[in-house]
Amino acid sequence: MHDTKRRFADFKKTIYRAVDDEVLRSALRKAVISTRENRDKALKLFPQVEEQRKILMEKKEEVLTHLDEMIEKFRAAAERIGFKVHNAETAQQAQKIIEEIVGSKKLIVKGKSITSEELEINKFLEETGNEVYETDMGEFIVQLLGGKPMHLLAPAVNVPKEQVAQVFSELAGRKLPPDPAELTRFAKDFLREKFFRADIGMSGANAITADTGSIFLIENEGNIRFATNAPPVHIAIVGIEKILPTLGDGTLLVEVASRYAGYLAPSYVSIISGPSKTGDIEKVIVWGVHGPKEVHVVLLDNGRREVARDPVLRQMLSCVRCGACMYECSVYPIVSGYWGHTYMGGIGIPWTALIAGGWEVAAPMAYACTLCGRCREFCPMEIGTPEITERLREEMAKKGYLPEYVKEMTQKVLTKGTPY
Amino acid sequence: MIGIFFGCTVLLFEELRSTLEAFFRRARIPYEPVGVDRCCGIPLLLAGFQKEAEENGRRLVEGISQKGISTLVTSCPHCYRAFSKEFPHRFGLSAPFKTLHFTQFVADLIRRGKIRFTKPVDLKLTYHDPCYLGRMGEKIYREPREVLASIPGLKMKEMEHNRDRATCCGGGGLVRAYLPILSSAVAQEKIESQVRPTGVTGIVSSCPFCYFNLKEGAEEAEEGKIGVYDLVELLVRSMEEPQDA
Repeated sequence: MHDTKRRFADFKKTIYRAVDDEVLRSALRKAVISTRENRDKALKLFPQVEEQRKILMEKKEEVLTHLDEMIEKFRAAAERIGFKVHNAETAQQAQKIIEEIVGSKKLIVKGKSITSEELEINKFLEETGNEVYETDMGEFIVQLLGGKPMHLLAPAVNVPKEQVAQVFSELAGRKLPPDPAELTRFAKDFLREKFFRADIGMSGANAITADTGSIFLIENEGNIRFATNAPPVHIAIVGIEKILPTLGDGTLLVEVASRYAGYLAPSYVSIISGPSKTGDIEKVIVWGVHGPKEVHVVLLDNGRREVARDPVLRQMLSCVRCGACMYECSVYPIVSGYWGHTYMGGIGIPWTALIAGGWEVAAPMAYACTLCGRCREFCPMEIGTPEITERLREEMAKKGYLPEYVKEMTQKVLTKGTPY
Repeated sequence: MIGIFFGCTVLLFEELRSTLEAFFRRARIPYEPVGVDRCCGIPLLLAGFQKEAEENGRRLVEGISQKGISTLVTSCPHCYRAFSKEFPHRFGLSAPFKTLHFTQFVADLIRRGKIRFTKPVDLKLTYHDPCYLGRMGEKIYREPREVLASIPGLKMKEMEHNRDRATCCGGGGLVRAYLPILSSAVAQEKIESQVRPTGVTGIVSSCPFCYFNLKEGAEEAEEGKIGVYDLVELLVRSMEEPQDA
C-alpha cells in the first residue's frame, strides 16, 4: 500500500514537471496543429477512407474473435514462403527466441517498433554482448539521449534541435550546427555504414496477412527498407493482433493508418513475402541475393490472447497505431509521453495494464484520463478508451490502486452521502 | 410536481445553488428539492466502485420515487448521466419519473411559450459542451444553444471544435481530484487554442465541474481576460424579479 502511494505521488511529480515545461508545450502545440492539418487534408483528399476504416474494423473484429485460427493460417502461409515462425507467449520467451537467433557480438540495426520495446530488446541485446542501433531518426535521437520515446510516430517530439546537435556532435567528435538538414545528413552517413555492416536487421510490423504470410511495414524515412534488406538476417517481432485475413486487407490498413496519421500515402510500404532468392543460374535456387536469406517472424502474445476474449477490452487490440487519438486528447498535448510507460496516452492505459507494465504502473495513468471520449471521435477503429479505462479502474479500485484523495472522496460518499 | 436534483457540487457552492434557486423563483415554478443528502454516485463509478454506485443509485431512486414527482431536473450533467443512462441501462433500475437536464427543461419551457427572457445580457460568448451532456451522454447539443439564443442581447459564437468534437475542460474523470494542476492546464490550453480565436470575451458552460475548472484555467490564461459563466446565471440575469416576491 505504501508502494502504491509512492507510485501515485511520483507520477504526479512527473506530470507536474511536464505541465511546467514550456519548451515541451510549445513543441506539442506545433505538433498538434500540423498533424491536425495534415490529417484533415488527407481525409478530405481521400474520402473513401471513411468506408475503408469501417471494413477494416470488421476485419479486425473477425481476426480477434478467431485469433488462434488466424495464427495457424498465418503460420502455414509464412512457412510455405520460407519464413521461420516462432511463437512467444511471454516477453521472456521472445527474448530467448531472439537470443538463440542472434547469439552475441553481433551488430543489429532496428526499425522503429513499439512491440520490440515490450521486450526491452535493446537493453537485452546489449546485455547479451551485442551492439544495437535504432535507425528511425526520432528513435536514434531518443536512444542516444537515453530517454524514452514520447509519441508513437514522433518519438523525439520533445527534443529541440540544439539538443540533437549536442548529442550528434558528441558522436561525431566534431561540432555540428543545430540545423535539421545537416543533422539528418550526419545521421544518414553514420547509420549507412551500420546498415551494410549489420548482421541482423530487426523490425516490427504494421500488419501480417494470413493468406500470404506477408509482413507489411509502413515508413517515410527509408530506414526500415535498409534495416530489413541489407543485413543477411531479418527478425520481425509482431504482436499477434496485427494479423489481417488477406493481403488486400493489409493494403486497406496502409491507407487507413497512414491517412489518420496525416500522410496522403506513406513514402514507403514494404510487403515482404519470403526471403531473398534467385533461380537465374541454371534454375538452382540460391537464398539471400540482395536481401536477407533468413527471415524470422516472432509472434508475440504477451497477454493479447486473454485480452481478445473480453469483448470490451479487445477493442484495444484493433489499434492501428496511427496516433490520431493522442494529439486530439485533452491531456496528452500537455504532458506527452510522460503520461505513459512503453505505451502512451489514453490508449496506453490498457496496453500498460494488460500488456506491458502491469496494473501498478497503469493505475496512475488511468486516473489521469478525463474520460472525455474525444479520442474515440478521432479513432479510425472507434476504440472506446473511456469505456475500457472505466473497466480497468474497477479492477484498480479492487486492488486498492487509486489516488489517496479519490479514495477519501469515495469513502465520504459512502458514509456521508456526498463526496465533500 | 417537478423535483430538482441539485447535485452535490451545486449544493456545496453558494454561487451556483442560489442562482438555480433564483431561476425557479423568477420563473415562478414550484419544485421539490430532492436527493439533497445523497450524491448521484458518479464519483463512485468513476473511481471504480461499481457495486457501491449501484447500491447508492438504488437508494436514491427509491427515495425519490416516494416523493411522487413526475419529472426530475438535474443541473449537473453528471447527475443527468446517472439518472438517464447509468441507472436504467447499467444497473437496470427503473424509476417512475423522467429525468431532464436543466437545459432540456428550459428549452421545453421556451418552446411551449411558458418562459421569456427579457432583460438584455450584452455579452459575446461561446458555449462549452460538457462531455457528460454531449459526447459521453445523451448528445444534448441543441437545447443549451436554444436556451442561450433566447437571451436578448447575448451573442454566441461556436468554437472550432464543438458538439461531438468539443474539447474537454480538463476537469473530468476525477482528474481534478488527483491532478488539479493538470486539470487547469488543460482548461488554460482550451481557452488559448479554442476560445481566444473566436474573439469572444467569455465562455459559458452548463456543468458545475467545467465551470470551476474553466475558471481556474482562465485565471492562468495569458493576457486578455476571458470570463467564465454558468448558463443558469445568464438566464437569471435576463429574468425580471417577480413583483410580488
